[in-house]
Amino acid sequence: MKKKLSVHFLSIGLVAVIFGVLFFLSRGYRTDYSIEPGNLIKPFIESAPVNFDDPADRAIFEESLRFFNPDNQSRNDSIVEAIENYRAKLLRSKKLKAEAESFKLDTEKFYSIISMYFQFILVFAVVLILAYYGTQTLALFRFIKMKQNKQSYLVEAALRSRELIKSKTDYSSYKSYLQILKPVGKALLKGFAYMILFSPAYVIAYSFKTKFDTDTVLFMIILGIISNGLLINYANKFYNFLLSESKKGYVFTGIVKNLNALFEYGSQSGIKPSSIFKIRKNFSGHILDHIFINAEYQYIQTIKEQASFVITGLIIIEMALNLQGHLSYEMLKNILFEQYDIVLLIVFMIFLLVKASEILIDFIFHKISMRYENKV
Amino acid sequence: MKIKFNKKLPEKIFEEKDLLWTLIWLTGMSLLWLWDILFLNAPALDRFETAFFNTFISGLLVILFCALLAYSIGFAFEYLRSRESKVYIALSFITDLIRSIPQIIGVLLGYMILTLLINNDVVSGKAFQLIFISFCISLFVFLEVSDLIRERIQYFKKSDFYSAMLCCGIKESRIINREILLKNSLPHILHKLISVFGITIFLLCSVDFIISVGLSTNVSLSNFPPTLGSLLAKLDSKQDILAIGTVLTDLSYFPKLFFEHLQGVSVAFSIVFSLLCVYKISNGFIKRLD
Repeated sequence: MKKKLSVHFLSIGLVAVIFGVLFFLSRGYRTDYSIEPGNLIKPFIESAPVNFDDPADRAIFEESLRFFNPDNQSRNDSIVEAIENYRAKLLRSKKLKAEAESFKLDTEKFYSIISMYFQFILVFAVVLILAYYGTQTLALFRFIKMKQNKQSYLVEAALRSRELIKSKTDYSSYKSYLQILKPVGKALLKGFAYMILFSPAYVIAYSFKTKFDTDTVLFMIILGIISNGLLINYANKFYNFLLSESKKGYVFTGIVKNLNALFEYGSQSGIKPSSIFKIRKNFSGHILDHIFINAEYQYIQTIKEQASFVITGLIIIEMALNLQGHLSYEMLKNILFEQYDIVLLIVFMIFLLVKASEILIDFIFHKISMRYENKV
Repeated sequence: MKIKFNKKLPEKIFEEKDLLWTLIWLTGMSLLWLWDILFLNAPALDRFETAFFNTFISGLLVILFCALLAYSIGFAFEYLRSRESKVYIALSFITDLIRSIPQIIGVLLGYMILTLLINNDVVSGKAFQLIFISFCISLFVFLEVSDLIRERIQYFKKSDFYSAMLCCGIKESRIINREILLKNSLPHILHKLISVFGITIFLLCSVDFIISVGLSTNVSLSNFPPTLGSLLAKLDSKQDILAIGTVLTDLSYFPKLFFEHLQGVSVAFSIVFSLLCVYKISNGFIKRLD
């Protein structure tokens, strides 16, 4: 554990030094917003006594060009167009300069970023905990369904249709059709759920909401869990751990030693559906308990990856939905106005969060490993 | 002449889920394309085709870069580990550092570098930009493949055949490349690369969406190659997506989605449907291996 900790702290130190140097270098960097007129229009901009904001002056200027240079109308048009473009660029540059001023890093800005950071940590912690619960629950549900040898809803519907045709039953009976429609309905629901789970957050968000305010933390948490494929992909990883554990020798030994191994719901020696949804999953007396404990232990290291992906998801949500007053949106705005010192500060803060979660997970893994190795 | 119908083929496709889902994906996307040809206006169809093409080319490029990077790093790790080199420690340190950077941050940094290069006229051309973006993404996703390669090498190194082959005078590099990676690990690596394809679509679309929504309102930094993400961020596509919400309150609006809001709906469907199919193909592939 000491070795792992030293590697973590070394990388934090190294990144801190690199970011520190870049931070101070970038503070000296300021974007040049000045716009230079091209050679074609320079004499007119610098010396002509024309107020280009005044439509009357502009009209006189165009008329003068035509009067003094009647043979080259295309050049006159080019000059007018170039002046218009220059003025538009100048206006935009002034606007950008004014906006960039409000993005400078001062004490007030720093505290505002810190407060956004703590809000981000809070949302991250809630999403990670709920996603972890969801991952286990979904994986267990799928694993039990696989153990029950249940076929897909569409196959079930197809088989029932075949039975209906072969048995030549009463076609007018609505019950026989209901038996087919029920699995079809379930399949449609499952398909819809899959589409939601695989949708990027911005697709779901724009489908359901038109305006996003700063008080959308709950909405962000829900999106963070269900979207971006987070739940389904990590449930799949947990499911694979359950699957590989279920093939190991101790499972067969457990069954021989009379542990319950029936995966049907409701029966005495089967699985209670409520135990799948409990926060602390417990299947005492059942072989699934041992499979689950071992899979859970192996999954701990994957939580690091999941934590990083949760952060990726939250950043996408905050940036894509333009959630003002949130850390990632602040970073995006500062990228836009080239305030790289603030960008570096926020990136470093996010890096620290990932590192903190990695250290915590390594610590938990170490503690559990010590218990299993009888070293506590 | 009688045409013989192989009855086993449909059964085979149905049992082998990766083949089934590849077929579902191809059918779904072909139907969508046909529908778009019939009902989507020509400029929008052109934009959609270009974005779809760029996205999937980028996905394939990431697979290529990932395979190269993962192989080089995985092989380097094994070579250096057995020699207890200090470079090994440095390499592990760097890869751990990459792991600690959220993928989206890494890719965004890549886009910032690309923007600077374009603004300073160092690079130009859409093809180069697409290759650069793909390389940036692969830098942050290749580690999964590299870890797998290392796991496979370490697992087989414990087997008897490894020592036996060394005793026979066969080179270590040949055993790793031919016997371990090519003969015994290729399906596992392919499975991982399929997953990488899914992650790439997700990351690319998300970053392009973010850049198009967040960075292009006031300042047009650069015109990156259009992808499904940037097309979805366009105002008309976003309005099409918003229309999906209207269906929740007004069901009669549902058919209009497929005619009046086709651009946004097509893009969103392509992303989500492709992600779902890639997940299913990847799972089916590993199931077939088992």
